[in-house]
Amino acid sequence: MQKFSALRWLATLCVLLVCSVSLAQGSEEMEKRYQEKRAKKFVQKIEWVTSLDQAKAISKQKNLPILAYFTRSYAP
Amino acid sequence: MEGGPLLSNWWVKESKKFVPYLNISAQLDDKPDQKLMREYDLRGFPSFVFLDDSGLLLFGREPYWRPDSLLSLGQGLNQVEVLFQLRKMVEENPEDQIARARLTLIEGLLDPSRVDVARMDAAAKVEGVPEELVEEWAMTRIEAKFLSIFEPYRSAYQNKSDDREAKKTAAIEGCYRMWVAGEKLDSTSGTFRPFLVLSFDGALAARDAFIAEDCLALYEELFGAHDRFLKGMKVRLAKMVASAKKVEVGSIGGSGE
Repeated sequence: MQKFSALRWLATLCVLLVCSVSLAQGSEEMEKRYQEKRAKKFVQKIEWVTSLDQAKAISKQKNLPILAYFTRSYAP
Repeated sequence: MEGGPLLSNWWVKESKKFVPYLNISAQLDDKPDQKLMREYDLRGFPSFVFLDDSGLLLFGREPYWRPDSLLSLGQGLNQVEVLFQLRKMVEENPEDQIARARLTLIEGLLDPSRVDVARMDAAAKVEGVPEELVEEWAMTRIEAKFLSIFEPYRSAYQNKSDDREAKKTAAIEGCYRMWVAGEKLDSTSGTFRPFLVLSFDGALAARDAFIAEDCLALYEELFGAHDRFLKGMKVRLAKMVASAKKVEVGSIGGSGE
């Protein structure tokens, strides 16, 4: 009975370990994709602002509208 | 977009006329403004919108707009530049009634659900305001009026507020009054159904069988004879008519005594 309980505990631990490893790998992959997106040619072409608060401050200072472009890096 | 228009010379040149803000959804919490798309109710990629310095969405939500040519970018820019110019004019000269009225109308038309109908009506009457703005307001007015009646009721129910029944009564009365005044929403409007149902309820509450029947006939025509609410509506109307008849008979009987 004790052996069975230890085995069950071990199996749970393994599942948790696999989950956390795959989560870490997943977020590493997401980070890689994000950096790839930021390195794209269109991002380098003009001076994009990447924080809305900063964009608002510049908009106020220069009396210019903000053109917000929403895109994603996690999928093509 | 990223491999074409956003690399073009016209894009680089025109980008001096606005603050380019890039929001990359990365499914990573440490990246900036990850919840912003939801806040603006933007559902598709890519999305382009113009905002002001307070973050107010000025242009581009619906229909979805892409600045994929100089012409298309210009269309968006023209709209928002007028707004920026007017704000500056009003700031520099608060007595400029035409600029103030134009600004009120343009800002109000950006979000008709929050508009002050009386303020917009007054702005539309100012001499010198462009005709197309007045016409646009005339088309939006009924919808805006309905939303100003409907939204407090809807949000009270959504938030389970204590005063939701009072808000419902106010919405019912407001819609009925609109119907009586001939201020009817276009049947193609996305909010026509609640308008019609509330007007019907208002007519029942006012014991106005004529308008209740009118609403019911239109409801059946638009949503079909098999609509799941129709039967209940018919029963309520029949009950109201029957009780009105009873009152009539009772009063005739009473006068004969």
